[in-house]
Amino acid sequence: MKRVSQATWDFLIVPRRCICGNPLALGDLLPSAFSSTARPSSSSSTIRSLVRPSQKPKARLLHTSTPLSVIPKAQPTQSAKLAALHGRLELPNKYPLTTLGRALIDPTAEPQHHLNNNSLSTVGNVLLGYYASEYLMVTYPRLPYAILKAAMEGYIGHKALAAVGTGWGVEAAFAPGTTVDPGLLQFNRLAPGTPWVPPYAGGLGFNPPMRQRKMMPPFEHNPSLEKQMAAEPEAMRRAWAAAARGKQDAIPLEGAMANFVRATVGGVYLHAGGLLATKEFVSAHILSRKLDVDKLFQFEQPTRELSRLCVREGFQQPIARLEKETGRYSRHPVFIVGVYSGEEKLGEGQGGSLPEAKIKAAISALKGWYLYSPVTGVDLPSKTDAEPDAPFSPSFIDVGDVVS
Amino acid sequence: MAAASSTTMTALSSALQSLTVTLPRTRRRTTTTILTHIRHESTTRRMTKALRLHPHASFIGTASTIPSKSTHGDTPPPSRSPAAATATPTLPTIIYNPPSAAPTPAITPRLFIPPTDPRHTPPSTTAILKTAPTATPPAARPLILDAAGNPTNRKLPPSLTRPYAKTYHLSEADVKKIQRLRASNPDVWTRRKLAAKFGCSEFFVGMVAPVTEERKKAQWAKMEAVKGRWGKVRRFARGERTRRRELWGKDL
Repeated sequence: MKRVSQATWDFLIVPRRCICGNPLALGDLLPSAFSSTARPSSSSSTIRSLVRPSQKPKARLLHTSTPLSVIPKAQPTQSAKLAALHGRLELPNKYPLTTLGRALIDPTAEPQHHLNNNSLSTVGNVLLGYYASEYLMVTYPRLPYAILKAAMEGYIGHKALAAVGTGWGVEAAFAPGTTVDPGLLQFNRLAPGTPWVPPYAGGLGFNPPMRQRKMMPPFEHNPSLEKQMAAEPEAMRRAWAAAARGKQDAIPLEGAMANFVRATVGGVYLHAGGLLATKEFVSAHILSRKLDVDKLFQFEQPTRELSRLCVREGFQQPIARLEKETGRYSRHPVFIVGVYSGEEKLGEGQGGSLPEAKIKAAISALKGWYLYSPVTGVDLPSKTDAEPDAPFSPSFIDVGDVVS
Repeated sequence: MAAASSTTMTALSSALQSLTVTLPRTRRRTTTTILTHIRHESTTRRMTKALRLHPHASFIGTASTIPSKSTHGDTPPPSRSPAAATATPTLPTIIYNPPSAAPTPAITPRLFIPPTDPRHTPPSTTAILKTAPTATPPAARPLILDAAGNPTNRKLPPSLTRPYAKTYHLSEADVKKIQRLRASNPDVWTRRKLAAKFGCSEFFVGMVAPVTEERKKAQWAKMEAVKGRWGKVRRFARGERTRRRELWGKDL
């Protein structure tokens, strides 16, 4: 059975020094940490050097101008939920329970940056972006930039990460507070109907207003939808402004759960063995999820785009050819159209009309181009993180998107 | 065993005798109803023959196409010696016979595989542009070439539209003339008329000689006025058609 010694937890309980440079007092973080438990003398010297009673009032003045609202009376090490989560994720003993407990505290529940998961989730987000992007770029070297961003969103966007966190069995507290079990996710809930802009959206995902305009079906007889559309931009603009100022004091469950997963990854990097362990953790929990990259495309002028591609690459102009058809004069005809460059078939599409089949064939050809994937055995750039002298075969590099 | 079979034989022969005795009477009584249910030997044979489908090519030579032992009772029992076991032909046990389906984009076309890839095979030479495109349009249904480059008797499928070659025949003066005509009276010199006059596409006319913003706005207003006269049914149908067309681009 996996056990973590009490001395280990006490030693790794918190960072010794706050980000702003002030020394941290343990009593700030865990008010009841040393009141009742008897510790072995081996670790007491370390603890004493950390606590330093003479500095305690000063540290309180610096850091705890507001009463600590979230830091619970119960230690993280006493929470069965937290220990179970630690074991379920198969985290090594080096990963302290207190870090996992800190990863469960969202900035909206506890604004003090040395007590919430903000710094951990920032580290985790950078690492997740690194591993997801290198994986996608090596697997699909010809993906257009917009599709690459959408695929990144599909792997490490807040919806995907929230699903991962839910799959880990993490539950949310109703509201943050001192009586909450440290194994529950604590955050300030967003009121229903309030717009929210996910953090880290700058480097990831589409611009939400743009997506709204593009994806909304043109129904002209839906007054409620029209009203909603008319009301949306102003509210969204305010949400964007609040996000830009970093003044979001509430967050939906999805966002808080995603932040927790990011913070867990950051904790793996900091405590469980650096880049190699993080890569294993990310590939096991995030990149092993299935994402249909071929379903992310939406083409506006596929025939023109294919034509420009053939001009760029020096191929013969693509010609759509009717391969099979049935029921041309019936109610449900089916046409199968192949698109050819010279004698080479580039793609095939089927549809209920000739234009539809032709467009589908062009889309099939373009997907064949964009979704080219090198054979397995191409190395990821992160291979050399662990062993710098390892043999490395570079991946295929494409010239870029088709401009049409 | 022999005694049991002899008793059954005697029982059968007695039953047959009784059948031959009673047959004429029953036949006389219900002629039409019985005759409709009689299945002649020839009909059964024909039906069996009609139902006997040939196996798919990928199944031939596999276990399912080998006659089973129960139909041929005279075959000797299989010997247990290792030599005999190796002598029997090994049949393929995995049959890959997928149903017909749309091609998947996961399989990259041969032309699109870069030369650095180990799967690369040189594509057909007809697909590579060796010189600048000529003014002669390609054939609508060219013959397929063999490996040596000679035409075979097979043809590519017919093209949807007649292939054309870009001619690039308009000079700068022609373009200036198009612009002048379009600017002089855009009501008369529409894109279609100019394209027919100069032998180019309407897209090209719109590109080199766009109309003013005022005219664009006026045309849009005109179209909106027409749309305003649409009824509920037409408006819904047009909206649905637009939506379906957008869904083509998603290719779900």
